[in-house]
Amino acid sequence: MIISPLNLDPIVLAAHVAGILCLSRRIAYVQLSPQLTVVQTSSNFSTLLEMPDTAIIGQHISDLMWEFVGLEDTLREILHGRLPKLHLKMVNCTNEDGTTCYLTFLTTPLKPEKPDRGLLVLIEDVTEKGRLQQAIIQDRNELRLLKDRLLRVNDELHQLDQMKSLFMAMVAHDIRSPLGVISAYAELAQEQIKRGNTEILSEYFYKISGQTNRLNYLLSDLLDLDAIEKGQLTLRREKTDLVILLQEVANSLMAYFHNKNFQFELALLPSPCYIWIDRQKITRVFYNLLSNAYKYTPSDGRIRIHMAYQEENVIIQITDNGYGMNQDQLDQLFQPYFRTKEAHESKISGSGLGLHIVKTFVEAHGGSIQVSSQLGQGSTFTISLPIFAHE
Amino acid sequence: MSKRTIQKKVCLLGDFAVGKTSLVRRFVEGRFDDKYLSTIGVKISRKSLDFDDTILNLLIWDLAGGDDFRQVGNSYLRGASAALIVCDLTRHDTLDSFRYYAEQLHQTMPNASLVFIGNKVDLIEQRVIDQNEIERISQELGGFYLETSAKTGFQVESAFHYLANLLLNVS
Repeated sequence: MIISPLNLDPIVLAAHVAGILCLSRRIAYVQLSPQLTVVQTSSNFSTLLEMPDTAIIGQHISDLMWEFVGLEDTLREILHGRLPKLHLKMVNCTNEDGTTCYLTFLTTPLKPEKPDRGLLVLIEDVTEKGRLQQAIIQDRNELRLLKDRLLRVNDELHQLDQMKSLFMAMVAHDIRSPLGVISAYAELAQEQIKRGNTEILSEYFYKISGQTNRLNYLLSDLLDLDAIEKGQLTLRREKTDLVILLQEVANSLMAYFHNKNFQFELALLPSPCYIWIDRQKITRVFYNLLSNAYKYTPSDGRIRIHMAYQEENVIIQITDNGYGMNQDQLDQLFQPYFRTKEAHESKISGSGLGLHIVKTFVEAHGGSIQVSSQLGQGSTFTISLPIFAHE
Repeated sequence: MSKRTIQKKVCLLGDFAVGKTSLVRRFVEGRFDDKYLSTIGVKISRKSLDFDDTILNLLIWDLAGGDDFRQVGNSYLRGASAALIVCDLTRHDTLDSFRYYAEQLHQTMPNASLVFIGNKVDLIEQRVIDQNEIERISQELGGFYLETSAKTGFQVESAFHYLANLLLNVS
């Protein structure tokens, strides 16, 4: 018997058409009652959604498919004719083999002129399109991230370039001023020798020696920075009594501390406190920190060195009651070439390399450095060094 | 006495590559993958949370971020009870989008709860977003703020549990 399609109920006809579509393309459908329960499905429904095909009919749509949890009110809006459709594009699903497939869910009234009769959910497998789209978006997003990163690196390089220019100007100034002093005292010394007045020479040579030391430390900073940047920092560890070392560094600066009338307190551990360190580098660490405390603390100030054991480490704290720093300055303190605005303005000499070198040296020893500070109150630098092969 | 079971839809919103998919993966599967894979459309995951008298099934909609979200419109947001809006603490422009996502959600679901997330807190050196700034914006937009790391798992459970508690209190 031949059945004319014209005699079919539109719903039955739609089901036939859907059936044909289901065969030719990866499309499935679900027909829902006004109560949002499943009335019927296409034969490939459970295959497409990879779900067991038992007891599907009669189930509520949100119990059957996660995608519809929370959407019950939206589906009712379609049933009441207030919303024409709900289109969920590119819903990611994971196949049993772990690969991703993409499905599109289109929900419309079964009969547009009578939306309250029920709903039709068309589910289309758009995996091929989805994978292509995903690849395009992946490339686009990766390019955007790369562009962002390049812009940031460019900014950093620009800042570094500016800092290096500033640094070069500073180094030129820092070299020129001691050279000027040396030159002046050398000329004065020559004149005094010509006049046969040699008594004053020792004072001139003392000044020349002081300026030579200043140049020497600046050049050491530059050489250390070069080694750090090239990754050529090496440690020559030797068994060292840290108490004696600290005492020696403090003694070398004592004359300067007296000049500014500092109250200087040394609270050291009993000697010996042996640790395995590169003696020269750790000496520079303490020299740089104490020089900073000297430079950034006004006359009649107070500097304190305190030592203690903490588990497997020796802790050394250097505290001053100097100018201190704000949080912004603290955040940048260990960056190479960084100098506070106040340091620039007050013409306090310095290359902005000292603390960067301190941090690098301490960390090369497996230690750590922390700083706490308050503007106008002073600063505390805390160094922790591990005790290797402590006797 | 048997526990009541409720199901709630929550959405993850935010610009591309802020770590939305990684947060869901960390919360649902307890793992992290360093490889970045763009999400297109939406990926729906489910996680059950067991409370004293309730089992809460969270249906987590991990939505494509950025321009791709703007193209699909708000149909994905329908029925959402809450959303986590995520930014990447190392990219300031991702914080600028907080307001857009909050507005989109509230246009579609005016009563939905919001939680704001600053993700990738483990990348301390690269961080560019100040905590005070992000807290202030979150407060303005009417949501609680948390910092997370999908990589280490830091506060990921807390973020989802905070959201779950909001949903239980509402229901």
